[in-house]
Amino acid sequence: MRRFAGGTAVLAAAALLLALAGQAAAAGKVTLLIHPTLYQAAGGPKGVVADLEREKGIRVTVVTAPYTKIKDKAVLSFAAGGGEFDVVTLIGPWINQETVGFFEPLDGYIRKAPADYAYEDLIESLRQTARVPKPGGPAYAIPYRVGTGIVYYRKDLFAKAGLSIPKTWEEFLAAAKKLTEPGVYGVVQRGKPGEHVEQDFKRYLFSTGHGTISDDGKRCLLDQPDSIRVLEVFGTHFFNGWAPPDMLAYGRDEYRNAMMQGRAAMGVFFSPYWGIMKDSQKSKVAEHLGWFLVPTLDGKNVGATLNSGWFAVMDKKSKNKQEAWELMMALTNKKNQLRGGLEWANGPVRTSVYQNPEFQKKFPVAQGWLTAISRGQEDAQHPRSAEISDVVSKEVINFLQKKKSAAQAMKDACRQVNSFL
Amino acid sequence: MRSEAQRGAVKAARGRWLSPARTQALAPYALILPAYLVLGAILIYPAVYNIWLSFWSWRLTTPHLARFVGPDNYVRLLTVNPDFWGVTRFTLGFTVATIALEFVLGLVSALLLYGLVRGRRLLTSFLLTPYMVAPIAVGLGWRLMWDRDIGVVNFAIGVIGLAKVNWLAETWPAFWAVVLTEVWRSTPFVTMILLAGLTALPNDVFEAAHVDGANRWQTFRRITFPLILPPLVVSLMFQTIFKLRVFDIPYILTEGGPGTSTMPYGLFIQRIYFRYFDVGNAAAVSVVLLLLGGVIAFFYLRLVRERDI
Amino acid sequence: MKGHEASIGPGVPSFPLARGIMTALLAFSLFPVIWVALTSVKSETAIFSIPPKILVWPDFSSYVKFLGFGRESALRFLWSSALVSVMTTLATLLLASPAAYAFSRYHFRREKELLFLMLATRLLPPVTAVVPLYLAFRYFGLLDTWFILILVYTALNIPFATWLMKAFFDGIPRELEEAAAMDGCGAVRTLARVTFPLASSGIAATSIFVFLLAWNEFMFAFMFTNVKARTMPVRLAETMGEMQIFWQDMASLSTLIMLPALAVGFFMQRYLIRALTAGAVK
Repeated sequence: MRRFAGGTAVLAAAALLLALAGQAAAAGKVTLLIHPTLYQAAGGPKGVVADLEREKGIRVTVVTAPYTKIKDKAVLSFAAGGGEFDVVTLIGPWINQETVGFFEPLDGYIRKAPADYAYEDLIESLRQTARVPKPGGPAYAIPYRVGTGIVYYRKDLFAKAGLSIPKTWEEFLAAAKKLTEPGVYGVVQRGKPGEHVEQDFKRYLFSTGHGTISDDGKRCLLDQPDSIRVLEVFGTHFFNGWAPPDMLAYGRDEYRNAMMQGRAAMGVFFSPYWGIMKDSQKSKVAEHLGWFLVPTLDGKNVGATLNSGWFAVMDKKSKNKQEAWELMMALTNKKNQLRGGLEWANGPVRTSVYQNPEFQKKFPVAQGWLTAISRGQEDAQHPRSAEISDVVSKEVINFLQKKKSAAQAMKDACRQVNSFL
Repeated sequence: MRSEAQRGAVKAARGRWLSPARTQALAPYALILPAYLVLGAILIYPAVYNIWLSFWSWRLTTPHLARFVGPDNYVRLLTVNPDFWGVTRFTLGFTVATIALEFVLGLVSALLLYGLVRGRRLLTSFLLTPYMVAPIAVGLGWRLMWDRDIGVVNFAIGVIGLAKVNWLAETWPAFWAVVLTEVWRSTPFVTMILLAGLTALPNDVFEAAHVDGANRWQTFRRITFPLILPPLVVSLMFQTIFKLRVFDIPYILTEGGPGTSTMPYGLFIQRIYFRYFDVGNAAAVSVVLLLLGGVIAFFYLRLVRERDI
Repeated sequence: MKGHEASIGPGVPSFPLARGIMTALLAFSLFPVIWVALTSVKSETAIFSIPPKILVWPDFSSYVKFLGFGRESALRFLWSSALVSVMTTLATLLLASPAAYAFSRYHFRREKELLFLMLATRLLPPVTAVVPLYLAFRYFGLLDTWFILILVYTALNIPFATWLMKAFFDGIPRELEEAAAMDGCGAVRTLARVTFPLASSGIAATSIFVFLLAWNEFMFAFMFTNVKARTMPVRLAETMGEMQIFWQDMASLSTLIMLPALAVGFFMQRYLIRALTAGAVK
């Protein structure tokens, strides 16, 4: 009997404690839908999220979802009426004229943000991508992570072949030819459908200074002469055997493996991979790896290419908007962006981080990254950007499979793209 | 409290309503009702809703702009959509190739396993293993094995002295890579059902055949095969339905490539649904798939009924 | 007895090639599985070396991470998966076996149509059910619970389970049931003593497939759960990260998913074999 009473007392106390804990959490609670890699880039459960709970009493429930799947989950929740995820991380093209209907406009919050948040310090082109229409429209997102295209290359192989850094695509192709030898491909790029071939081709395409469609979203630019020329460059290294013969099956991981296991001499790729590529635990050639800016047709404005950013948006139907905004600021403020860049392999979105001496000491490439990012641009905003991307992917592959000439492929692409504009 | 008379009356009424003949007639409905309740809520309601949606222009990102468009989605799918016929061709080819291979391999494995006297349990477990592996792992593992430069398949081919094949980067090799991977993964499904079917056969049938002096092949053709035909047809029919909307393996191996040459309906629908958020169009494609599957299932059933089983 | 059984088997050709075919099938089935298991203890450079490395110093760090109680622990996902799969299997058998029995033993109006409709419910790809079900579950506040996963998986399994079990019930001679009834067994006892034991191999096969579908299902698990009811396949999908596939983690999680499934398969075969001996005794 006595034991029973004792047990009851313990249980009651436990229930009371639980209830109290629940109360404390209810003071500020917010749900974040984020990519697992991005969550790690904010320090995971012990990083930004833990600080926010300690400093502001806001408890963050984190839901992780893999790339592309994150959009499925977010859109389903938004379309069903929202309120499930207060803050969601999305990539640039997913912020467009259609999707912003689900997002909270942020200009009011930005105006009221404390001075040390320094909104203006966020990289200009990213701030513009977060505005719809861009540039100058209302802000719907805050940039969180950015990468651009750079050319990864093997310094040792370049030295052996007596090559200097290519500035034009002609020089790039000449280098590719010279670097190709048994067991080593001169160039590696991706040819798999979906985002793979489309992203890699765009990193070439954007070196012309324009993208797939005009900024106002009214005109297809793929059939311009310079677009056709870069597509021919993209095909030349494949047709001549300077790129892997099975390039059409190359996705992200095939690319990465070829580069890291020493089977490729150079290739244009996403800049945040630098940390992984230089990991000597995983790569045989880590110490020989270098980088240079993406070439252009005329050798001017080298480094202009496609930027890809991750952004944080707030659900318009969120019931915890103030807390959600605090979380968005915590993910993107000066202190955490620097920490993310230094400790958690994030690609920082703040100019001040790239200029920080500590960051430059750890990443000697910092200044180059900043140059590339500020010369590059994001994909144009369009509600049908997914369909447009798939058209690009399909026609580039048609060209690589020699079903069409470069000019014909781009002409056909524009015909289809125009039907969406 | 009810009076005795009342209780008697109730009992009599119930007795009349649930007369033995009535019970017998209603029993099957009562037995299938619970299953149909769950199916109705989880599968039939969404299916009907889906058919209804296929007549709408409705994007998930702009629900307020939804409008009824009649057969528009179907017309555009059959006439304008550049990928539809290629997808249909691949899906049908893939289905025929995988089902044929799985039928042969499944039957051979089941008969061999059944014929084993010792070690059957262990060997059966081994042969069933592929079906236990998560599809993502199957896809990623095989993707590495099919790789041109670092894959085991080309390594083995090289040992024999043949030239490397671009397994995942050319149309036909990619087709066979996807087919073989799927066959590897799901043959155990057929094997298992056939083995269970064989196991359930009463032994006296064979004894009789043995006494009649039938040889092995005759016994198999005249007795064993007809007896295991019903589970065989059921398993192949469901396998066919699963093949028609296969998703995981092609997605992870090739993402439908090179180009769109290995893109099945499953991937096509998923892309329209969750990449373009074009729910109306995706619904129309899935209804086409529904009809295709219905026709094929109908022919399977004819196969069983003609033999009067 | 054993020799006797082999000689009157169901017409299996026992030519010497059989052994060879068996070996080839075994190699074909097992090699990729062993490869995945090996990958789980290899470092990344070893995974990608050519010629392939078979002998490596095993590195179990990945397993330690997932099976420990730290923040990377996968135990709660395993628990979710186990609970959902077992409950799904029970629920499916509970709902599908009466239906299968009805379709096998009774003749009733609209029998063929009802049986075909059951099949037809599976003709649509599951992705089309995601939006309507999401809306419904959201309305009832059931998102992120085990209950809805069990419900959905049960529904997905019922048609196949019913059809398959019907095929096995059909194979049981009615005379056996009638004989039991004449011996004074009631309907329930006849079912329990005669029908179900004779169909046990079919029921075992069915339940393995039901279990495996629930165990490996990804899409609904991903869309309908956030934190509390997450299952193993959702965790596994995260190893295909934004930047790279975490090969070793992928392989070890795959192995962890595979082992319980293998155990279930192995255990259920006891029933496959028992059914055979029961038949032989008669």
